[in-house]
Amino acid sequence: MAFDEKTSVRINDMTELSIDDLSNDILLVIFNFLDKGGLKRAARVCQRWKELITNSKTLTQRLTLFFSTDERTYSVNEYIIQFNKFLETKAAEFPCRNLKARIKEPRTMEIWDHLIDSFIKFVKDPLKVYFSSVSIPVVHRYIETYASTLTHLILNYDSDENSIQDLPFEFPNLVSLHLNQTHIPKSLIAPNLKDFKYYKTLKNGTPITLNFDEFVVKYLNLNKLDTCCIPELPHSDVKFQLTNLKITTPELNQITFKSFIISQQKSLKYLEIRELDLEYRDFVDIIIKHTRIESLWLTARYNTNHKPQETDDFNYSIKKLRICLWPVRSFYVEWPHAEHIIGLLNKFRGLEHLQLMTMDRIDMIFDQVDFSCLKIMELYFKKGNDLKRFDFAQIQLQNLEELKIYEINESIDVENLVKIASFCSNLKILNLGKLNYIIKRTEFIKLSHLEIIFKYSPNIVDFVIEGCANLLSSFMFNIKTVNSNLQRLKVGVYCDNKIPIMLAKLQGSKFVCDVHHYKIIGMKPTKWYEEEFDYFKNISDSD
Amino acid sequence: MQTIKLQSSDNEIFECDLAVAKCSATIRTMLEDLGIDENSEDEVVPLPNVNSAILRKVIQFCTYHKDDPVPSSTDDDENKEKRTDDITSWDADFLKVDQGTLFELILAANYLDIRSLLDVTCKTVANMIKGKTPDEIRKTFNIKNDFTPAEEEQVRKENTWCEEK
Repeated sequence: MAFDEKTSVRINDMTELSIDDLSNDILLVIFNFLDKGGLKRAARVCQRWKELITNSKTLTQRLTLFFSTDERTYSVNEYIIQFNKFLETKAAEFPCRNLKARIKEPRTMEIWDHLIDSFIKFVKDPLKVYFSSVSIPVVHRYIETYASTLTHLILNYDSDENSIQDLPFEFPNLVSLHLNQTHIPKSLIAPNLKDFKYYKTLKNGTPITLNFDEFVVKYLNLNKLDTCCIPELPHSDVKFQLTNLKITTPELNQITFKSFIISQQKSLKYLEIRELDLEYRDFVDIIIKHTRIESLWLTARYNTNHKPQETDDFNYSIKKLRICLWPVRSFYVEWPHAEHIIGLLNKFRGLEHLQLMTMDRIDMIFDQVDFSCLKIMELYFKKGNDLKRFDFAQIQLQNLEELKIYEINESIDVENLVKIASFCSNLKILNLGKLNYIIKRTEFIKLSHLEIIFKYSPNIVDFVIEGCANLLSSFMFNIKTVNSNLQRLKVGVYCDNKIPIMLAKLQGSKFVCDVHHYKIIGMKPTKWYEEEFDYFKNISDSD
Repeated sequence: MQTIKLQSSDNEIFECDLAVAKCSATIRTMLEDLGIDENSEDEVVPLPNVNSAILRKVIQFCTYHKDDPVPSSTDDDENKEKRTDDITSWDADFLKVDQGTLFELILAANYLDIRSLLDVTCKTVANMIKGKTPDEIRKTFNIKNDFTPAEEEQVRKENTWCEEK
């Protein structure tokens, strides 16, 4: 958030203030009290107001969600009028959720035609399209119109009476097809398909199975596949070479899966197996031996009948394990028992990046693993108590350049983390993400903690801290003198009234300061919330 | 009763109840973080962004509201439109001021971090916007129309359905 100097304007001059003297933040507080009509009219007052309103996610959401949140019912004519006017400005999503319940009169094909025509006319990018809970005639019309050029298609949620299965799925140029919670199309002709995702579970939680031999194998160019249950993977004659495979597979046939993995060993780089049965003990070994996978992510299905035993060593209760093999440079693990992964960690001699999530007895890891190569460490704490039992000076963390710590819940966590940080003398980036201030309403991290960190890690150039607005405003006073090497400071606070104070205190600093205001929506900063609206992010990322 | 001295930008010193001053989160923070001794007789909290006329109004507001329950911040439903018709008659009377003073109060409430004052002043401004056409809004606040005629026509077209209500 850019600091608007008007926030701290001196008021003692004689000229009378006008509404133009209010900062953007304050104007937004005012606009927040307006209803939809008021907002629309306010957007027409002047350029500044228009920019402010149209650039505010919160306010435009109030406008764009008009059809999704509005509970009123409309006559057909009213609906069409509203719909057309809506489309003139917004065309990201086809806004007809619960349409049936919204329109008073029985719908006719004429209405649908009108809506579809309007929609097709206003869709911004006809080559990539996302449909969610849309009537089949709409999809059908759309597909007919754009089948020859469409490259990316996402369809979410159909129903038994409103199913996509009979649609003519013939796309000469389709590269990516994601079907989430839909029926399986009876036929799909897409010779250039590279990225296919299919996922559907029934109401009782049973996943729908894709007939792999018939449906998937023919796509020679496929290199990314993400789907749920595949009970019988093909034994041979698979022509495509996958680079990425993600499957959810409670009923996995281990033998066919193994041979399938081996058939893909030359190309496969990323493998994610969700809900793997805990009984498959040697799975990690198979993968290590037979492939050149760089990233492996295993999510275990938690089996309540399976009692933990000491000998189970990292087969029991694996929650998430992501390992990048040879040379293993980064390791992600979310795992309840630290002792299960120490052996694995010690094999990764070139480890540069380690994430330790939600784990008992983290102290054992620090005790028994040599971290001298480690450059980046991310810690996610649940039990800070585990850390107080060991000698921090013994940990080989001198090479650590980046430390990220999440979910600091208690003061004991803070003290332990301060100790760790203070032994990382070469630390360049320190990210104290999401201090758990909201829940406890106390600020247990103290100024003195930060002072110790900066005293022992004088090379920190990049410092990120979220929450703790009161602490931060006092910290700002000292940071200029405490650390002279700081280049970037990123602060997230939940209270926007603090921002001007903080920024005022930072005036004249030589480092770049980036202050984010997180609005409380549960515990979710709005920044993340907004990302959910970016439908095509995944597609473009994976290209 | 414990008191505290506040100094306005034009160097007038106000003595007020500590409880009243602490309606301001900024003052609270200053007292806590800067180690200003609450018991010290001579200590004066400087408020360089608030002039004496406005500070007097702010103290008046906080004195009246000092025993109000603190609104919980969890009811911040972002997508929900907030009410503006719930201004109490005391607040409405208190805010019968000229626009300049109203905006100064907003800036002061923002600087001093007094949520209730910021809310009620912003609501008052929102009420001045509500129900008006863009042109009436401009006249009310003396805002220059900086749209070109073409832009204005474009924006008007996008929004015509609002006028129907």
